[in-house]
Amino acid sequence: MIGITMIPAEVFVPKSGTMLWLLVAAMTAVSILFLVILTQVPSRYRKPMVMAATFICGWFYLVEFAIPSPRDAVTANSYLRKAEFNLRLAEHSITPHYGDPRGRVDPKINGGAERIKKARESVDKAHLYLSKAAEEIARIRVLREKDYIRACDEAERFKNRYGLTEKMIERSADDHKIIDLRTKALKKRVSDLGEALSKIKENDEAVMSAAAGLSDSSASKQREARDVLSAAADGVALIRTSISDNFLTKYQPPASNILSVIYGFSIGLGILSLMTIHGKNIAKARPGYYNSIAFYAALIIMAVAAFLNEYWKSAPSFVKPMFQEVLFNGALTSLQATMFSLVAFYIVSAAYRAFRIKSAESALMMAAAFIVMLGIVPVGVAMTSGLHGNLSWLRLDNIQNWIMTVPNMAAQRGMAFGIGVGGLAMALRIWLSLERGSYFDKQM
Amino acid sequence: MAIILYKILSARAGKQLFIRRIPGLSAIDEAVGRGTELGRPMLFSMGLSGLGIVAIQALSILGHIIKVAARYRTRILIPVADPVLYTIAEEAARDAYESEGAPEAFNRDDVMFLTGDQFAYASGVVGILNREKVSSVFYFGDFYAESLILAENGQQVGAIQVAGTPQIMQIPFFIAACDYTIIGDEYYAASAYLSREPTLLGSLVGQDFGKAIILGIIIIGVISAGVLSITTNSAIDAMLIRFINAFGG
Repeated sequence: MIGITMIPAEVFVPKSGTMLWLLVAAMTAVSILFLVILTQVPSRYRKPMVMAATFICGWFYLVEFAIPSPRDAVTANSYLRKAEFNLRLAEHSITPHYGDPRGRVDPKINGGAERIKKARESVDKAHLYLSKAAEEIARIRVLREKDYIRACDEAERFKNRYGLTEKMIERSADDHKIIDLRTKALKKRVSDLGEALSKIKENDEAVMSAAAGLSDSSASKQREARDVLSAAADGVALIRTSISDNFLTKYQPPASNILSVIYGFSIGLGILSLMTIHGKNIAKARPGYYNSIAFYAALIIMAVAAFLNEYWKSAPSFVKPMFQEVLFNGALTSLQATMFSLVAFYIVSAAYRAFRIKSAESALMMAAAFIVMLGIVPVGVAMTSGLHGNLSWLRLDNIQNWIMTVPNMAAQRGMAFGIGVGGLAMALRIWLSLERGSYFDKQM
Repeated sequence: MAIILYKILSARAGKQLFIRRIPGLSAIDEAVGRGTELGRPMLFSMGLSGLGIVAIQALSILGHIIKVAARYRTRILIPVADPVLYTIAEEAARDAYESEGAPEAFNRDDVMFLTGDQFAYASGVVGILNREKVSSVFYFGDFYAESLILAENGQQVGAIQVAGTPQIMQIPFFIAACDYTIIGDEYYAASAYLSREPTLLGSLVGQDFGKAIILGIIIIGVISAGVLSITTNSAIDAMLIRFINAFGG
């Protein structure tokens, strides 16, 4: 532990130029040396080594968690929690409207006026919550400026991104001007609604900015809204790592990076395994060896396309979209969608077997499934839509809703609860090397 | 955690502990036996698990299955979706064969990295299921939308199937398509159940005690919140609010 504290955190800051290449060479040499030593160590010593490494890593995270933070970090944390909360509220306010795929809003159809009003309110709310989040982050900045430069930098970055959100909301109003022809018609229809829309008309500009935001269903607009909110959330997450610190916190990211490095090496091993298996299939002309040829062809084409896409700067303009459109959107995505769509057919055959009444339990499940399915489809809803007043609870959609939100949810939460406690016990067993597995086949 | 540690220590001191029968885990040996009788390979899938407690538990179960299979020289195929897990699974398989005195039965091509992509992995496993006409299939790990694709194909080739996942949304699919399904925290009881190691049994009983205590707190919390909503006595209000806050309410 003392050794760790002696290493300055700056060691882990990314380098560039000659220093970068020197570090790459040094780390490669160290890694090879480490691997050679590891492979030469007999199995009986390797297992205690794994145990010790597991225990030290677990201890590191436990101590980091347990050591109290400085007082101003605690205060900053409370502001951070508020900022996170406000961000969630902002996201919650704006998402349903920006996620609306139905496009432009006609105030005369399907409660369009109400939706415009709600959209305006949601934009206002998002604005308010984001303002609060920005204020809270500004407070964090004041609190932590002296000792925690990184936190302040991230706060600044976050604030800049927040500025983007403001611009985006403003742009909704600008969009109104750009799509003036469309919104003029919308305005006319809004004015026709008379008394019910009088409040909206009073604040016409704000309404139209919200309407423009709502009516622009383009994917880029939606993506932008989501990107900005997710960038804000990322900013907050980064601030969190800088704030909740004690002397060990700053070593957490490098420790986590080790796993990423191991993952990178493992991908190479995984691909090597695939190539070996398929190579043997081709060499020995095993049945279906042509599938292995297809594997090699796909591997090479995708790899070459990805590299060219990334590094061929002077490629003709039609080449790059071709990689994306033909190989990824055309081939890979379609194949994935095909596999996914098979689920629909398998659900039918699985349901057929599951719903055969063989016992009281299966009869109960069949009855519950029947009600739930009927309660969701329009025919089922229409069948009991005439029940009102005291009898409304007998409507199939209400019974279906009750089954899903009460008994079903209770069972799911019960399971989640058990899984959570089980996972905790499992984590404890792994940390203390009590678990039996590949490396712990007998109790150490 | 204190209760779990206490129960582990008392189990190690020799105290006899009882755990109920879990049919899904008891069926593992039956499934291996069937594979041996039919002379066809078995398949063990860890789904899309990455390296974590879910995968480590799956590896424990895999170790047990390989040991039983190694006694009868039954082949087991292990397609993996995570490259880190692939290397560990290979090591686990080799260890299990060696511990049963059958290192020659280990074929490193039987542990294969397919892909990290969800549906590409599903199609790869489905291909193996159909080509090899596997006799038994074990699904232990993290499964998502591909769970039903795998389980239905296993069912169609006539394999006996045992599944367990902590992914709650996938449990109904496994129940519908598999012969035995391990539900909820039974998944984490597997290594204790299969090994009957006193230490692991102790932790299992300890976690049940922990659940009982938390359940008691939840019940008291629910009653407190209910009383709080109807009472007008400020002293009781203050006391209940303090209680609820103390437990993070």
